Amino acid sequence: MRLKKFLIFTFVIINFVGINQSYSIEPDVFVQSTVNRASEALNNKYSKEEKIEKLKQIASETVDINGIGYYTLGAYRKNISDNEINQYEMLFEQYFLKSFSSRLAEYSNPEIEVVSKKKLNENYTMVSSILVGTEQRPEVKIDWRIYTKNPEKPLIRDLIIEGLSLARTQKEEFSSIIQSNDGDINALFSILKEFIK
Amino acid sequence: MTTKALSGINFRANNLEALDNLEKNSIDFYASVRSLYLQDRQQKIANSNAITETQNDSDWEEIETQ
Repeated sequence: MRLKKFLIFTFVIINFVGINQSYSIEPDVFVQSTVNRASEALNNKYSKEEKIEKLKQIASETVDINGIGYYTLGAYRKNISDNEINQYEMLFEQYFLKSFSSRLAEYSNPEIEVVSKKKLNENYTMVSSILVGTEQRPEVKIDWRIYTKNPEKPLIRDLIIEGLSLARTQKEEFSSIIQSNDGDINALFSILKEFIK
Repeated sequence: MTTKALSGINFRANNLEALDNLEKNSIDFYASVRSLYLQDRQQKIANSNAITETQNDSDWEEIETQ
């Protein structure tokens, strides 16, 4: 009887401690595990369509798509209505997932090694990695901007390939479209809709 | 002059696949290429490989406060 009570007590304590413990994930470990998942998805045993589906799933769990969307829209975000913001969020997510997965699906079995990390501030850590070179292509340096506001759920906000930021390229692309249409956000919406089709 | 033109052709030949991929996945190809060119130039002027020195953080901080 005493043993039973003791076991119940221990069980309760373990559960209580377990529930209250917070698990922060180190940004470099997060990047390595994301890369490993993506490498698996790019294995040649899958068809191109399967690869794209798997990559979309990984991206929606590990990338801060809304955050990147706001960054990409930049200052234009202040001048549009809530309704337009909602429409933008929806279109951007679909655009991002399609563009990201079809860019990556053309690679097979990429080998990425995480090298180091540098904490920029409470919100961001930069993780540096190397895409190992093969006979066909040279080694490529890839840096990851990781958003760490919630240390238990780090998220990717940018990929910087050989010093070239994908988020910044995308931001300048969006801004060019809006500018060449006299600041009309609807022009961007229709181009995004066309891309998603 | 000829050297410059030839190096341009050589660059295109070496990066044909990457450029095709970029063109296919861009919604404004010209703006993408311009942005990549300017980022590369900025990096060369800064003469630094350190990512933390060449990236602009203020744009990222801005989205937190809006």
